[in-house]
Amino acid sequence: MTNKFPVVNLKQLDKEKEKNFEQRLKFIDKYVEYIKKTSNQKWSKEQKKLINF
Amino acid sequence: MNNKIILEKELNDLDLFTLDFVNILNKLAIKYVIVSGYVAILFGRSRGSEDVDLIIENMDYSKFSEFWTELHTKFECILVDDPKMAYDDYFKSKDRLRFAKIDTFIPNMEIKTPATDIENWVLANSIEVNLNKNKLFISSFELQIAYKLYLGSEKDIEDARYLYKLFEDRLDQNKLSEFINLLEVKNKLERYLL
Repeated sequence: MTNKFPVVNLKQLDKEKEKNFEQRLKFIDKYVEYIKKTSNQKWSKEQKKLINF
Repeated sequence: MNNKIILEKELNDLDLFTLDFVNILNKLAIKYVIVSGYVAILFGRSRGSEDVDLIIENMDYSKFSEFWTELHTKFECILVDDPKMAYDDYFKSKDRLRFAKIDTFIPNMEIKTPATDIENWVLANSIEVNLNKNKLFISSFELQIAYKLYLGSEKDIEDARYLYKLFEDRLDQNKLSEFINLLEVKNKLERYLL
């Protein structure tokens, strides 16, 4: 373990944050495709596991 | 878009909580509309929520008191105990009241009366959903998408994109454009949804 703090590059972090958000939007598109081709019974069972967790 | 949707799904705890609450509103013939995140969650969005937002019609104290009594068989208000205080200090002032199941804190139902033209519009133009043979009223998708873009957090934009992509073929594009213009979110539509 080190007592030294990491070097924080805010520009780099902002870029990572933006990239993460873009990738989340792409995930939503994939998820919508999945919902459209999957029976309500199946997707809602998965959603129930997530929400009731 | 057709103003009635039939949805059969395996109900999760948030669905059951919402149905318990709106069944009381339905029983008392109180007009309401569910807005915000739960609209996307109802149709499968992969996230939970600590609250469900609901806009309900104005009513006098006598009706509110009846509503309060019926509600308190299953729910309790987490902000105030006294119905007169709830009515005078929150409901009449168009402030939000929060209700949770008795002896719990989350999830909770956040209710308010319309304070803006947009809220009056959404209440008057709701979509009826038949969820496993239970009736509930939700916001127009076109307004919901535009409003989520207006709110603008990452979660809101993700909700907007989810509803847009899921109902892409069924949306009234003229109505959507109108709300996009009214809320001045054309740049966000182009950046995040198209």
